[in-house]
Amino acid sequence: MKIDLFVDLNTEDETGLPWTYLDQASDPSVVVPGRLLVVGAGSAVAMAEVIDVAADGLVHVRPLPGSIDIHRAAASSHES
Amino acid sequence: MAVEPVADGPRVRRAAVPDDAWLVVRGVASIEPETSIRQAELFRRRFQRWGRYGLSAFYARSEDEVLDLGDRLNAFETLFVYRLDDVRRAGFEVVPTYRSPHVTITFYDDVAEGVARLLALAHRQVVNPGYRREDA
Repeated sequence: MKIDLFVDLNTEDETGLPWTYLDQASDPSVVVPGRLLVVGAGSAVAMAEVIDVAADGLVHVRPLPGSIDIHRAAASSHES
Repeated sequence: MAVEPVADGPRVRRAAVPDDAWLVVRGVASIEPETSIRQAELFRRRFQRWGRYGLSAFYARSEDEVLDLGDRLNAFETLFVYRLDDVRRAGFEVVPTYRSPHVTITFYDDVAEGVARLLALAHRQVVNPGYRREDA
């Protein structure tokens, strides 16, 4: 599965959310607040919402419950 | 032993990690050395003036607490559980960071050597009851 953004899903900080840096994305231009991305590392992946992107490139994400396929299907039905 | 708060580091809680705690670290997939090395480097980049590599973990004091962490770590099929004392004896500092039960396992030496040292420690593996499988 293609991962859009490297995130160690074990991490958390003061926000309670996993974090990473913008340059850990395969395409940093898609990492914008509100966007749903496939995040993770190796086989530990999740669909997550980008919460914020700081000036220094720090990114927080919120993993969503449910499978990636369910979220993809929901997004497709909204688009069609 | 309480860890003093540090400037330019993560927020450190006043309460020390209990000496009898277990440390629960993410499971098989992401405990691969490459992922741990990459995350440890990102931690050091974020807190460069603190000068340490770091990996997130959670502490638990009972089997029920270990299993409760499964929901939080639902991307991981297996949880790795270490004895706090073993981790400390191997030269790591376990810092109570952010919200309990989160901790950061920190070290100063070469990042690859530090991760290899952690992965080589005795631990037990627990099947994560909260695991959410993603089929590729």
